[in-house]
Amino acid sequence: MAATKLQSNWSGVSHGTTAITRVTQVNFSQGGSLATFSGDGDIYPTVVVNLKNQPTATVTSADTATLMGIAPGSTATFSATHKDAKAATGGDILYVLANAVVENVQTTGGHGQFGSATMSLLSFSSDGTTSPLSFTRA
Amino acid sequence: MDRRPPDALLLPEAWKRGETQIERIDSILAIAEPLLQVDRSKGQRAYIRRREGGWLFVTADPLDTENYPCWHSKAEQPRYRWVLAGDSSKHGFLVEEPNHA
Repeated sequence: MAATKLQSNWSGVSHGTTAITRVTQVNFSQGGSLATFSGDGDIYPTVVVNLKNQPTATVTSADTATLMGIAPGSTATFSATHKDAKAATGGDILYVLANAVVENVQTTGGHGQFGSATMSLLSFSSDGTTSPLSFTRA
Repeated sequence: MDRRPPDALLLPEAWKRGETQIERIDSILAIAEPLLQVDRSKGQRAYIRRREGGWLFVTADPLDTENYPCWHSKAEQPRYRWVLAGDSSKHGFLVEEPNHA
């Protein structure tokens, strides 16, 4: 079966050696930001440039015990596979966020609803040049 | 003349082809994985990272970095010797054994 070119659901989600299951949401961000410059009599920016990027990720899971067991400040590689919508061979995308530092983990649950926890991660670049966010076909 | 395969690649981002993300990834992997001699049957992959200036930095290890890490005695120096490949891409050869960042 050919890849559907559609992604749906996540698998293989982990932070270092900690496998994260019951995943309902994963976000990866390139973390781009823009700096603008204006001077003298300028009313509008005359330069808009991307000077810095800070890739981030978040993961939400119903396995609250696993996520809440991860301490803020923990550093490891965070990876997740975005599955092909029909599980076609060659259609999965693997994201890897190197040097992913846990910023926070929080949990919530409403009456009559499944509980969930969300972990947010910031990453750093070991050399200041190479993006810690990479991707490939799984 | 380097006879061994490169350890890293810098490919123009303009080489991406396709309309979907998986198509674009595949178009780069189709070039990069044979050059890096990635063997998918052994679980190996080529990992793509965006780089400023319209380049893609591709290696077989997602923890590879272009330069030595900032805490290394060779900080800010390149870990690779870059060779122009003649097709607008660059092939990188580790100047010494990798020291994972």
